[in-house]
Amino acid sequence: MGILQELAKVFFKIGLFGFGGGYAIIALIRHLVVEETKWLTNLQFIDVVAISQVTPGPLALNAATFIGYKMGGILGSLVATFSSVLAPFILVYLASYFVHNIGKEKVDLYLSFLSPLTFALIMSGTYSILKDSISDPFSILLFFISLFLGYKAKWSLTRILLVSGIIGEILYLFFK
Amino acid sequence: MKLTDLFFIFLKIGWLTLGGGYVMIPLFLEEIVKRRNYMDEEEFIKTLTLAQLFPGPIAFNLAVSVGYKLGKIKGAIISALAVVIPSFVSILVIAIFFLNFQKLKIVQGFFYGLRPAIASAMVLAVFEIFKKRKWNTLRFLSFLFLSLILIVFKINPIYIIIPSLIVIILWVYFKN
Repeated sequence: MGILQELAKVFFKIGLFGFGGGYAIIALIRHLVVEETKWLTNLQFIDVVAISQVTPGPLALNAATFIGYKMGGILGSLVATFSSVLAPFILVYLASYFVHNIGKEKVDLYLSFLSPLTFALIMSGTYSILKDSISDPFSILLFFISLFLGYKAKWSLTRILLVSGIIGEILYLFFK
Repeated sequence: MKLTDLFFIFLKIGWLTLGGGYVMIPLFLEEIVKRRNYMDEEEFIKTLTLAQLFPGPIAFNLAVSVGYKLGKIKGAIISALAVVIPSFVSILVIAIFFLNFQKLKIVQGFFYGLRPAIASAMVLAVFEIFKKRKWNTLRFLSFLFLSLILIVFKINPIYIIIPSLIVIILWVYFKN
């Protein structure tokens, strides 16, 4: 199978099964692009997540464009991005067409039942990112500094990323 | 209302949704309901509910369902396109730079610092979820069970997502 077809297949799946949004989708994307196809290394995958946090658009889309470009150039990025939104587009379109009145209670029930699944997905995504990003004493230090800034000082993620990136830069250039 | 208006509104929303997720819902509300009166708030909530039911980025799904409401198939396609373009363009530019310069020590150092910060943000998200959500025994046990399968056996998350969805949908459907 050519790379374009492969990209289309993988990102169509990500679109079709990307429930929960946000961090919940990390486990699914990681499994498909790191474990199965090996399009990204463990670390490159975290880099894409980091880039996604400070650029427009959700992770699934950002990952599709980034990996599509890496594996198949501009055409690859178009194919992957298009494929990643194809299933959601069709599903939402059909639902908008056919469903006119939707029971609020049933929807709330559905969403509350969905939550253990999305939490489990977030848990598993967090576990793999934690395991891959913490590799030496410096990264443990950076992890706790960021945790402190986010939890106690309530900094925004963009600011934390900037500070952690700069400290990381200094440690890396001098000691690695 | 013209389709070009719809295009530029969603292009703007697309640019402003850093990181994606539910933070952009107020933006939709502001642009579509408050400023332009394209639909009333009740109708917007209905549209949002529908968008939440399906896989895919919430901003994208919402753009498709609002676009459909306002301009049928053309509205849906134009809104979908507009909301994706900012993400696509910015990631494409970053991917071109990143893939060319990732071997440089200065780039590696910065990302070395970013990774633990991303891990800390995810750990914080997990904390938040545990604090906020109402857990009951069944929900907690299913969460624990699903997390363990995902983390220990490293199976493809799709094999967890499909059976969970079937159970959830049947349950919601047959309840009362």
